[in-house]
Amino acid sequence: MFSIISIWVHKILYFALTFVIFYISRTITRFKYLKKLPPIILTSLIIIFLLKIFNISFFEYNSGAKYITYLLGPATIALAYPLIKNKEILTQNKRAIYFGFLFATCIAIVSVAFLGKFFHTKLSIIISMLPKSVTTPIAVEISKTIGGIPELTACAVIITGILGALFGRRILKLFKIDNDVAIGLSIGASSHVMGTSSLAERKEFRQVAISTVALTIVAILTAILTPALIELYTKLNMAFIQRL
Amino acid sequence: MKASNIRLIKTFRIIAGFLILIALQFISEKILHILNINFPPTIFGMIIFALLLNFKIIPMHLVKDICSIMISILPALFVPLLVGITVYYNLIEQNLLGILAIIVLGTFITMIMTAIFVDKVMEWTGKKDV
Repeated sequence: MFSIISIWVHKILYFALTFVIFYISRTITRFKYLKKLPPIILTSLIIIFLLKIFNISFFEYNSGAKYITYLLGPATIALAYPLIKNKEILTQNKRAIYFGFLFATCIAIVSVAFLGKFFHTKLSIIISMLPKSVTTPIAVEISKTIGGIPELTACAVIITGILGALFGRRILKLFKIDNDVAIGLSIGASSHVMGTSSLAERKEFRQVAISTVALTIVAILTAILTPALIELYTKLNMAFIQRL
Repeated sequence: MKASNIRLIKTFRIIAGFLILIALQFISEKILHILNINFPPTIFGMIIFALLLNFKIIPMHLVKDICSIMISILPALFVPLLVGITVYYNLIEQNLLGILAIIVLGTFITMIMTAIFVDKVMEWTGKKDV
């Protein structure tokens, strides 16, 4: 009896603790010296540290934390609100947007393939990372279909998301891109929901709108194109080898 | 209107909105399961919600508050996933350099080239505001 209560108390504890530490991180990073540190990174580091010193396994932490991950579903659904609120941005620039989706999908897949070859990475790792620019559940699905390692894919997706969320806007500013459509589309297409949430943090809701559509469409296109491009590459490779 | 009345209505809207979001998640999971379609229920739910909002079946002002709240805590919801990467550290540490290089360079290449592409196309089609 007590063990059941204890289990539930632990679950609620891990669930609530994550939010508490997140709010503390958000407050701390408002100070001058820590402004550059994103709350999500600080929160994760604090929690990893706490788990280590109290010798709590991730599995135990996740028994409560998985309910937080479950909330990702409704929260992603909530992105439809800024989308519809700003829907006119989609009808205004149709050509740029539609071709932009296709372009982003192809660049994402091809860049991983080329970089993988360039750094002499193992094939199974390259395959796992091909779908890294789409949102986690789809990326893991695609990875399983094409023969990758789902856990590695999930890691790659998350790191990609963090990169886009942390540095996306700054890098685009460096390249003098101040176009709402371009910013939103490129961040949504490359760093999915995490990138979009970084735009939402800045209250750039026009960018959020197009980012949301981008992450959806690019996810669908990637699911279709990745197996197709792999087959194309294999056929080209075989034809090339036969020629030799 | 009394301040306490306003707060009550706002609380009601937040709870109702939250129930709507949970219901959408649940319904989209069920539909995809019944139709046996292999598609993430989250994205499907988002599309359904967008359609419901667009055709005014669900009023925007009802869900305005809960959506703002959910989007504001969105970063926090990723924390368990980030903490979870530590479990797979052994998997990545062997090929760490290659993996990081691919992820970092690949992401930035994709993002920058896509942004420039979209920017240029908008310029060429004359739709860009100067």
